[in-house]
Amino acid sequence: MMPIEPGILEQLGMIIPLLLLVVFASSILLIDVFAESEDRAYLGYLTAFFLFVVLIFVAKDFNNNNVSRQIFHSSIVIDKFGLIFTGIFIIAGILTSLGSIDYLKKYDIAIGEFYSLIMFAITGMSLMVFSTSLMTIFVALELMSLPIYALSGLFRVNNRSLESSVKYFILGSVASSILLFGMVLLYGATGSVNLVTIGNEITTKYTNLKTVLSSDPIIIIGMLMVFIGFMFKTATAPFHMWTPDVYEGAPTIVTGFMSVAVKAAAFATFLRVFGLSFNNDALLHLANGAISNTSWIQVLNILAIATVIIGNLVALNQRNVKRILAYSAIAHAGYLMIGLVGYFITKDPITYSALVLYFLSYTFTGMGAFIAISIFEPKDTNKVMLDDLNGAAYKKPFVAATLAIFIFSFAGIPPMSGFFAKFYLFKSAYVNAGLHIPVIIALIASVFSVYYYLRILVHLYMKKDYGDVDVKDYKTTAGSVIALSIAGFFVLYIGILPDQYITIIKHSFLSLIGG
Amino acid sequence: MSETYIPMVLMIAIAFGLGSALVLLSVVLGPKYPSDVKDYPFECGHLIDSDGARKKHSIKFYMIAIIFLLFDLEIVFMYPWATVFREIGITALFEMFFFLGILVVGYIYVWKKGVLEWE
Repeated sequence: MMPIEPGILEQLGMIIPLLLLVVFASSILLIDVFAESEDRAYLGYLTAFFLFVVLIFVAKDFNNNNVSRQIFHSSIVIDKFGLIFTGIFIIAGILTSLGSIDYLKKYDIAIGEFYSLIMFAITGMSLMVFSTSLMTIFVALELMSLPIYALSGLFRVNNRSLESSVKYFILGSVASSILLFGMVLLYGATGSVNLVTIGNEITTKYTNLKTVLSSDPIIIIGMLMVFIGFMFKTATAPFHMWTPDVYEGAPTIVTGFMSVAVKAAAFATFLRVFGLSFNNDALLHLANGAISNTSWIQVLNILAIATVIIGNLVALNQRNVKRILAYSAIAHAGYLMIGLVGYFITKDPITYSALVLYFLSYTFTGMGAFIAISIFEPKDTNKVMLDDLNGAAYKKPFVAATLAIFIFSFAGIPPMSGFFAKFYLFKSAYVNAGLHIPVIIALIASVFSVYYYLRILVHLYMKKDYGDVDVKDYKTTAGSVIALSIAGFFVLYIGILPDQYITIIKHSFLSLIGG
Repeated sequence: MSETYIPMVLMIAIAFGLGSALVLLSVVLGPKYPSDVKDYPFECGHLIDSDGARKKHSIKFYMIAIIFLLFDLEIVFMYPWATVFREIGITALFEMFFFLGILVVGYIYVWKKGVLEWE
């Protein structure tokens, strides 16, 4: 039965943030072509302002939204869960557009499309977390991915940037087609593209895993293919191979956006799809204590452990800062995966808020770190080795100090937000969900991670400066200073006073269950 | 069950037989006047020259092709829309206007960027 939908105007009123994003992205595009001046810096500020306006609308919707209804022929649902993640993407977008101004100026790239593409990518991400239909998810996923493919090839004359773009495009398309094939199989097996209907269909048809496997293996295969599609976007082992190369070659500021926003979008959609469609007890044997090796929870568990280990161990040996951060992004995907498994096992507000708080903390930390690294990036070589950072702290004390905050937050050292987020995530996974082995392994791996994180700081503060980097390369204007201050402020603020964020996040918990 | 497929098999057989018969007949019966121009490999958009495949040629060709593809697909969306337009009503009209509005933004962008100027 399809619930009665509100009128078209009311439906449009519910998606005002999405409409605004499209309108603003198009207007940025038009302003860019009609503007006379060669300088494109104002577009960065304008984009940040536009995104801030959308953020206000999202916050207003979040406060007013109490019922979550499926609208537009059950293809999307505007609920607090989606709104909180939309907020996260927009924050990442604001920091990206403010931080990109100096970076683009350093390489003399006056491209207004950059900001437009960022906004279109955010539109795709938001639409993806709101969607409850497989078709909408796929369209939104492509709307998110295509601008990112283009952005990673922003330096058209740079071979590494091109390599990154082409590699990401080819591998991403393969992953998308696997995802699409999985969706087709699910549609074939259940006769619906709506996530809730698929979930109900599976629940009524099957009472235990054996009947699913013997009578309809298509459901399991389709589920695994959807699973692989999202694993690719979240850079979870064994689908993480593209990450270091793509992250290294892409412009640093785009890498930051990719590692924060794209990952959050893929994880949130993963949560939505698997929470709504594959919640059936037959598919969730582990949750009932009857451990079955074929449960997808068990699969996620093993992948989470593998991701944490690979990310942290390979990062130890890197000397390229962007590669270090790329492997660290893989490691953080592993921590998040542990939180996700914890949520799927318990389905209580505590594990849920731990997971979302980690995203919030990671958004500020990751964006801030990449903006700071983009300032320290030497113009001529277009890559940042550890030695390039030698003594940089004495040339740019403010940027280096904020970078230190973000690095400490990555490593999980109090009072930064990374510490509390990690502690809360691990605690809820250990105590509430009973994931003892993954959490212990993640804790040990996280100790290893301190080595490569602090190595960056050692080069920043304690190495002798060879003086071959010109100070002019480190130019900062208001944009990056504002972005770094915002990110640094929130990293400290969430770290010291996290309880009000947890309260806000817990409000969004019920909407996820309500469907 | 399997009888239902017989028309399809027949259809495939006839299509294949007719196609190959026509080609064979024209090979056997048709007149042959070979010439240099006819032996040239055919490539869309420009003549083959002796510099080989590594010669650079104008990117404008690709830009026009991509833009043509984009705006041609617009029509592909409009056909199914037109067939169900009466049933959905005024909502469909606004949806199509919204879609066209986005395309117009793209068109203005392409125009101002100078993609449509050949020289």
